[in-house]
Amino acid sequence: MDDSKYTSLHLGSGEHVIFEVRRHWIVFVTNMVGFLFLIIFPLALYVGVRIFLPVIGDVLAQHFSLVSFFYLLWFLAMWINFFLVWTKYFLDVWYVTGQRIIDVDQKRIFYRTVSNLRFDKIQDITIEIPGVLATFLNYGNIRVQTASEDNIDFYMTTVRNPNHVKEVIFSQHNNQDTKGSSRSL
Amino acid sequence: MNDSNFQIDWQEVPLYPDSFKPFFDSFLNGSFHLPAGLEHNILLIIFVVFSAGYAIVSAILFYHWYMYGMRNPLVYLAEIVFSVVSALLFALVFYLI
Repeated sequence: MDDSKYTSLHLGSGEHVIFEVRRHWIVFVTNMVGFLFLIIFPLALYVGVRIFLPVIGDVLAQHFSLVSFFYLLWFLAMWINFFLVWTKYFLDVWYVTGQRIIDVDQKRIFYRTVSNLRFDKIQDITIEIPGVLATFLNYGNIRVQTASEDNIDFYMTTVRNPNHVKEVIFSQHNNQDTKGSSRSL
Repeated sequence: MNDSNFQIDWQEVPLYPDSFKPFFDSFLNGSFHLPAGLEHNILLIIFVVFSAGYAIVSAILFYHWYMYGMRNPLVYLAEIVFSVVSALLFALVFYLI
């Protein structure tokens, strides 16, 4: 994996990103349905008014270019909002390296937190598969519990393939343990 | 007691003041138009203000994609799709005014 693109993560020497953990696409699709509704609703309203309220419909038809102007502005507003939501979805990520988990939490477009958790601080990993849809689409919630004094847990909801995420984190955790014990011998 | 004291004096209450009647009537019968120059100027002002806001939010998006996108192919795709569709829609809006 090309690590030069991860410069903003300030990786240590010999540290590589093994994989990225993102939320399942179902989260994004749910948002997308909302945007589709907001884009289609004015069109449906226009057609509905033309059919059921022909007097007002005719007035709107006579000012069609004005109606189109405001509808296009509305479409543009929805378009940029869609990308704001996508950006928030896409930048909300865990980077698992050979030494730690870097949790980038993009709460809002201007509210971003970055936390680190070294594998030697990990106490337990819990996954939840909440419901039928989660079982079929293979997503769930994952909680990484720490043994630190602060007792801060890493938690991400609707993670895609949570079992695989758990396996990778555990294998890295075990690798760290093996390296640690071989150094102490 | 005289019952007439309790009678309400009904009278027609117009939905809008008489001075607005020509405005609403002309709107309803389709003959309403703002003076051509004024309409154009108002739409242009709305368009300019909207474009300024759009440009600011777009800059914020591009900044995030560049700084934190980690050169992911999906980010490049998002940049292209966002830019092309935005440009097309803006061209269409500009054509309308």
